[in-house]
Amino acid sequence: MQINLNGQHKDIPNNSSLQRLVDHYTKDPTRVVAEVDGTIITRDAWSLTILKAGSVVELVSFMGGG
Amino acid sequence: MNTDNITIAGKKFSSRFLLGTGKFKNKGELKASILACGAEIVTVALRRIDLERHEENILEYIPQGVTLLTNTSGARTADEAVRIARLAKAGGQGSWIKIEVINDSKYLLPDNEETIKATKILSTEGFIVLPYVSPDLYVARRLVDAGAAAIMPLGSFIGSNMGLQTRAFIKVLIEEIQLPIIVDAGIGAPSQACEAMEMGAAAVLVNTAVAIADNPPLLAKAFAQAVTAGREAFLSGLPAKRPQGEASSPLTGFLFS
Repeated sequence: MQINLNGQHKDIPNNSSLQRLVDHYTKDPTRVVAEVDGTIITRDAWSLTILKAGSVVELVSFMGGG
Repeated sequence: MNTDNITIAGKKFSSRFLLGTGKFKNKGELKASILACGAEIVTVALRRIDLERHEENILEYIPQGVTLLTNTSGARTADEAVRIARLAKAGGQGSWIKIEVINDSKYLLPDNEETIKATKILSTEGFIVLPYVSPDLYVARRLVDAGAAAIMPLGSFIGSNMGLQTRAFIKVLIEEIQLPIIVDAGIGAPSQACEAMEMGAAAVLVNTAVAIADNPPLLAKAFAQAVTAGREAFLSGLPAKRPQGEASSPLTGFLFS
């Protein structure tokens, strides 16, 4: 199925959890904040959050900035 | 012992120099710069992670005990700033937010009106809000009413190194507003930071000048020293300028009279 991740279309397996998605894209999940369809998902709920086709996911983290 | 602390939202800091963490050539230089200047507050930004490559975790390069002030850079409206602030809080790095709402890509000037709106929303939600604004007395008064913890007026354009182009207007805020006034943006040399502190600013924030210097830790340290010098000059009660000569040696007992 297709989701929108950080503004890009991505194909992921059906019924993937948010946890699986985060683990796939970063080696250091502790730095990541996740939002699904405009709602912030706390880390303890990532494995319980099952993504749907068309889900809009944002994975953000802290970077250098002024 | 240094008792000249700056208090923001009830928290005391002995350093009046804030460092931004953007644009450093590498994270090692960033960490060395933070240690060299003794900054107790550093700013960070929030961005989408890079899906193509593994990125370093900047938080590992910020010493323990340093307060993180997440900016809302990238926000063009109050709502976007609020969204970024909530994401930052969910990131577990506290609730200190520098509101930065910018629509203009040439001058990068902040949108004061949207900034006031975001300040009101976020302070109600319990964030400690430090709004970055163009220095304007009425805007500053509204930010006080909106619950700001400090006000961050720009010295000049972000990253311009042009110094205190807005000095007269920042001076108004220092005189009329009870909150700490932290000069942010455009400070390109220690002399400029020193001038802001001599004028009575509570603190100064610098990023670009340090980050792009040949030796960032050395310049960071120089900035911190300039900020201390300026602060002590302010506290000393600097004498006013005089447009004529005033002898510093006695005017009696000359050998030749």
